[in-house]
Amino acid sequence: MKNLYKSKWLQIAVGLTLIMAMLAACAPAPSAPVEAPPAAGATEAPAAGAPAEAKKLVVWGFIWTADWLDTLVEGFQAAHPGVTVEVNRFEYDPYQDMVVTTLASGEGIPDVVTLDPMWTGDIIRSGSLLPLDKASAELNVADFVPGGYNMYAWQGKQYGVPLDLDFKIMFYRKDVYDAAMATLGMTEFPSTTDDFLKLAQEVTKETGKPALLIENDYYTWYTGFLAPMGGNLIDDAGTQYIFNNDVAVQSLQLYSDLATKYKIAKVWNYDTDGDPILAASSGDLGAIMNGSWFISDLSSGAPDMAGKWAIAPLPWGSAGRKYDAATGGACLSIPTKAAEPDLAWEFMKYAMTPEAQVNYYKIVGGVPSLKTSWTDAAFDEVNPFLNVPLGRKVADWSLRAMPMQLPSVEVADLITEAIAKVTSGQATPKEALDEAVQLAPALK
Amino acid sequence: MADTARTLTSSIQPNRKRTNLAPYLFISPFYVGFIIFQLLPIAFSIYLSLATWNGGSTMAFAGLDNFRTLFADPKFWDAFRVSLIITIVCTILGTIGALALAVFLERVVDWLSSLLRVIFFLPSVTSVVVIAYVWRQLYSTDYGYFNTLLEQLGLARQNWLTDPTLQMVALLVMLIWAGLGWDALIITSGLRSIPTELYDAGKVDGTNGWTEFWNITLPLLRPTLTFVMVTGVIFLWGIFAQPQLLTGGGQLRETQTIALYLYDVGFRYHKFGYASAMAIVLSIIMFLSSYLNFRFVKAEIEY
Repeated sequence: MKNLYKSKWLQIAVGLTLIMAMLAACAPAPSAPVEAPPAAGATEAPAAGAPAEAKKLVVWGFIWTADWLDTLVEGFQAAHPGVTVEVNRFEYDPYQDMVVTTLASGEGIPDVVTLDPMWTGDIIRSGSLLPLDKASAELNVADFVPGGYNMYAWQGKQYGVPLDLDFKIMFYRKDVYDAAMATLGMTEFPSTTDDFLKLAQEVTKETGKPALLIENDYYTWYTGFLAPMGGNLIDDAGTQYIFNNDVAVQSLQLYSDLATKYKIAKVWNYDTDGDPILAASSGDLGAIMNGSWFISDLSSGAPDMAGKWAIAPLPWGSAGRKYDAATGGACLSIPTKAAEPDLAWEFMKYAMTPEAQVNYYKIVGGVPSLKTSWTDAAFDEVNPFLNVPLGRKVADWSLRAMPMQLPSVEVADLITEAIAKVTSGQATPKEALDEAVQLAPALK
Repeated sequence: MADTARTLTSSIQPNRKRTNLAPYLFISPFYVGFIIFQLLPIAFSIYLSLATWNGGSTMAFAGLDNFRTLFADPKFWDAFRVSLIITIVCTILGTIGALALAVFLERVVDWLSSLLRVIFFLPSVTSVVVIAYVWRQLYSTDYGYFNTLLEQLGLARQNWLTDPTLQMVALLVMLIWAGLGWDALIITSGLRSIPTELYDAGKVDGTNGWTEFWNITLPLLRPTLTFVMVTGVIFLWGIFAQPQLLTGGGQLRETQTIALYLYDVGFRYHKFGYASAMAIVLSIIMFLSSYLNFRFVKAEIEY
């Protein structure tokens, strides 16, 4: 009898052990312990030469930024004995989901995370990032381009340190536009809406093709049209949406008119129109607004057109305006639940040295927000496709770029829908923007 | 006698206990997994539907606020309309098409029937991503097969994937095509379970092809059709990957289903409480649709 009971309990014990083993096998790999978050910089990381304390710093980056982060590892580890830096590299497409899901789950959270402005606004407002309270004291804020640095401030607190400056400039077919400028007697590429419209109409007349490609999204409209024309998304107090005011309506009207009234632009749909590089290589593309990074796509996609393309600041707005565009660009931040927030801050400071930022420019191609890095000769190198020192020009122009506000993804979607309604003739700019503001989530 | 009975009982009890426990032990891994990976998430989702949480903030109880917001949200009703159209059109046309295909395949020679069955079943074992990619190519404005065909017929090219009306048509065609083989296979099994004696008896009574189908085949197929329609309705209400991959939901949400909107709200806008409320409502819609479907078809089974 006792044997029978023993056997039964043995069966149950073995069974439960097996179940637990199966569940353990299904469980995620153990990650760094998540502790209650102290304020960033609450304790100092050990200085070089201090007794080594084994610590691991996990840093996340996407594609090229991760390649650049890899170059920082050796130097940082040498300066911080006992610290091991692990850089995790992600492709861009799944990166946003990885970051959002990880921050929400609280498991496997990195210490330093590279963020893209297209979706960082929600992450900041969700409380998932630590305010960088020591940034103003330990970084020389004046060394940064204001547009780049201020972009990651929200309600008086800094949540990221900027890496590069991504603002739209005009890439245009030099041969085509020069011919039209000669016809019109223009000596310089236009810097106002009125002059550009005259030139673009002449280009369209001479070539029979759209002089400009515009993308049907909020980012293009906001950073390329609304910002230089003096508008913005949210008021200075951060309490009210203003992207349906008069300036916003005028800028969306212009955006739409380029295609529908002046017939100088084609509103590009990537689903149906395909890759614009194909249009560029076949000579069907007169101009396109994009970030300076676009040069690598253009030069590799249309190598036969070397020397035929040029760049200029965006022309939208009147003479004497303050800005030519709004700037975006990636940043480094510290998640609220990072295991090593102090060490993470040390790493970020290390990444913000001029030498490290020059390396960033060489590897990633984006012009750094840190102005002190611009003295390097790398910025004066002539781009062989454009025959101009691209880095120097973009650096200079960045001083006329305002910091873009980081709207929620929901607001970005609503604005994109409003643009689509206007360009397809389903609503006036006023109607579409009013509706978008009405549906936008409340600002807290 | 009583002693003997007591002795028997006491000697049997441990054995009974052992035989009672062992099966539960062996099936317990499933239930442990079910509780951890399904029941608890469902319970958490129900709780979350009554709260506000963006992933980083503290969860705050919100009562029925999420449901009130949902029923006043025009984008939800747009998504509901899209899902309803997809469910109704695909269920009706898909079932009729699958029935016609199954009956046709039963009437052609064996080698052709087997070949066609394999061809029509292939989409069921093909990745949704591959299917959507192939159809995107077919629908392409510049290089697509359909536009080339239209051009050769002297007709204008169409923006299949961006035109507000055409993108819904494009999606419906792809969905019906992709589900045809699977549904036809199920219906074929139903057709083969119908006793041939009934057809023989029908012939004695003078049935022709149509009356045979209408009076014998269709009534006896109703349980099978119920299964096809109920599983189809559940699948179609929750459809996500196909519209996401083919149209992305459309620039003005023309093909955004409830599941697509739920994904946007939850994983792009970080409104997990609101998304959970939507998931609860979607589950109720699926349950009610299936119930009505089942009741409607079941009532017709009596003949």
